[in-house]
Amino acid sequence: MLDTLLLLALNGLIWGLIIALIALGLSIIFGLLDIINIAHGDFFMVGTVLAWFTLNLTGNFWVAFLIVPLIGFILGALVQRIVIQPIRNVAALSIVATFGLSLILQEVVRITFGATPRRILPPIQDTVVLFGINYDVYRIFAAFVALVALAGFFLFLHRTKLGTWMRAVRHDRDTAIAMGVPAQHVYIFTFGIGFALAALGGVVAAPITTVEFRTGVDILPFCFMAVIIGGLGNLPGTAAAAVLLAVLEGIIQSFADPTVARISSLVLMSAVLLLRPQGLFKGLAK
Amino acid sequence: MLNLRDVHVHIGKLHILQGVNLDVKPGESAALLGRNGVGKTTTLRAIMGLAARSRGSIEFDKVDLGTCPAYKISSHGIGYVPQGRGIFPNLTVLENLNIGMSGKRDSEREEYVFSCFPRLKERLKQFGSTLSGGEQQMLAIGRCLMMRPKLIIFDEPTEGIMPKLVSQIRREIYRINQAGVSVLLVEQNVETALKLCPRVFLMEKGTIVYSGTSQDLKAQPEIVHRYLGLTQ
Repeated sequence: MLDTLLLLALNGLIWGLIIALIALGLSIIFGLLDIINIAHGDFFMVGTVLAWFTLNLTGNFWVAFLIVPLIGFILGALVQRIVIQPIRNVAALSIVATFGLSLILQEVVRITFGATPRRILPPIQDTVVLFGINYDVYRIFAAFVALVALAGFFLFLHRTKLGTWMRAVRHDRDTAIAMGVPAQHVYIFTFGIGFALAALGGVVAAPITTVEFRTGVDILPFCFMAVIIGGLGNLPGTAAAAVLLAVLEGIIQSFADPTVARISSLVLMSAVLLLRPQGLFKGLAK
Repeated sequence: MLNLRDVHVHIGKLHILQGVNLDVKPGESAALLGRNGVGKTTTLRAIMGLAARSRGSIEFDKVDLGTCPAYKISSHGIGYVPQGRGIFPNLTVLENLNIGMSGKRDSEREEYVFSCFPRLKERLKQFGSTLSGGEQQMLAIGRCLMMRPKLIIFDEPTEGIMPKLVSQIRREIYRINQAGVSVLLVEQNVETALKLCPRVFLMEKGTIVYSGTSQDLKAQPEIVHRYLGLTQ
C-alpha cells in the first residue's frame, strides 16, 4: 500500500512538472493577450504527435527534443498572426476562435496520424531503486527536463530584454508601446513560446502517455485548474499549482478511483474560487 | 518641432478631438490646459500613436508620425510621462529605466538620471510597486530621460503627489527644459503650468480655443474663468 502511494505520488510529481510546462504557456497567453486558449491542450497533443513522427522519420527520439519545440514556436507565431491578432480586442471571440482551432488541429492530426492511439517506448528503458521501489529512469529524466525548461523559462523572463518586455506589455500595453516596446512582436513571440512549451511537454510526456488526436482534451481542464488555483496570470503560482494538483491526484488514486481524484481537484478549484479568487500562490506573483 | 494640424480622433461613436492645431518649438515649454474631459490626454495619446487619428497630421522634426508604428515614435525623440505615472510595478527600478533602451545599458545616461533623482539609485533593485507616488513619478520621468528625448510630454505629473515632492518635480521639469529639451505639459494645477510654461494652449470640446503666452493669459481673467473655471 505504501509502495503504491509512493509510486503514484512520484508519478503525480513528474506529471505535475510536465503539466506545469503546458499550463505556463496557457498562463502567459492569458496574462499577456487576455486570450482564453481552448486549443492549448491540442498544442500539447501536437507535440506528442510530432515526437512520434520524428521518431519514425529519424529513428531517434532525442531529435524530437530539439525539433518539436521549434516547430511549435513557429506554429504558435503563425496562429497568433492569422487567428488571434484579427480578433484581439474581442475576448469572447477568442474562445470561439480557439475552439475552432482546437477542432482543426484534432482533425488534421486524425487525418494524417490516424484515430488509433499509439505508444512510444521510453528511450531509456532502465529502472532505478528509489525510496525502495523500482522506478523508471525515463520518468526521472522527464522531471529533469521539465525542471530545466521551467527554470530556463523563468530565467528568460527575468534576465532578458524580451522577457522584460513581456512582463511590461502584460502590465500596461500602451505605456510599453510609448516606451518603444514592439508589443505586436511581443504578442507573436509569446504565443510562439506558449505553443513551444506545450509542444515540449508533449515530447517529454509522449513515452509515458498514449499518442492520439484527443490527448489534449484530457490535459486542458487540468491546465485550467492549475492556472485558476495558482492565480490568473501568476506564472510561478501556476507551476506550483500544477505540481500540487498532480501530486494530490496521485495520492488520492492510491486508495480511490481516478475519477474521485479528479473530483477532488475540482472541489479544490471551486474552494479556491470561492475563498481565495486571487489564487493560492498570490505571494509568488511578480 | 512638433506640429499638429487639424487632428481629429474618434473613440467609438464619440468625436473626441475635433481639429486640434498645436505646435511646440525647439527648446520651448508649452502647457495644454482645459477642464476634465476636453481631450487633453487624447491629444497626447494621439501624438504617441496610442489613439488613432481619423483626420489631420502630426509631424515631429519634419517626420510624419502617422507613417511610423506607435512603438517607434519614442525613437524619434519624444518622451512620454503618462497620467498616473505608468511605471511597471512588476519590473525593478533598473528594468523600468532601461525598458526603452535597445542593446547595452547606457551607464552615462543612468548617472545623469541619478543626478536628477538620487533616490532612484538607492532603489535600483526594488520593484516599481514598492515605490511611493513621488518616487514613481521620478522613475517615470527618469525613464524618459534615459532615451535622450528632444521633447517630453507630461500628462499631469503632479497629480496625487505629496506637496513636498511637487516642488521637486516642478524643479526637475524646469531643469530638463533649461537643458534644451522641449516640454509639452498637461496640468490641472494651473499655477504650476503657468510658472513652468511661457506658452499656453487652452482646450475646450476637443479643439484649441486659445493660444498665447502665459503672461497674456494671466492678464485675461475672463478667459481663465471661462475655460478653466478659475477666478484669479
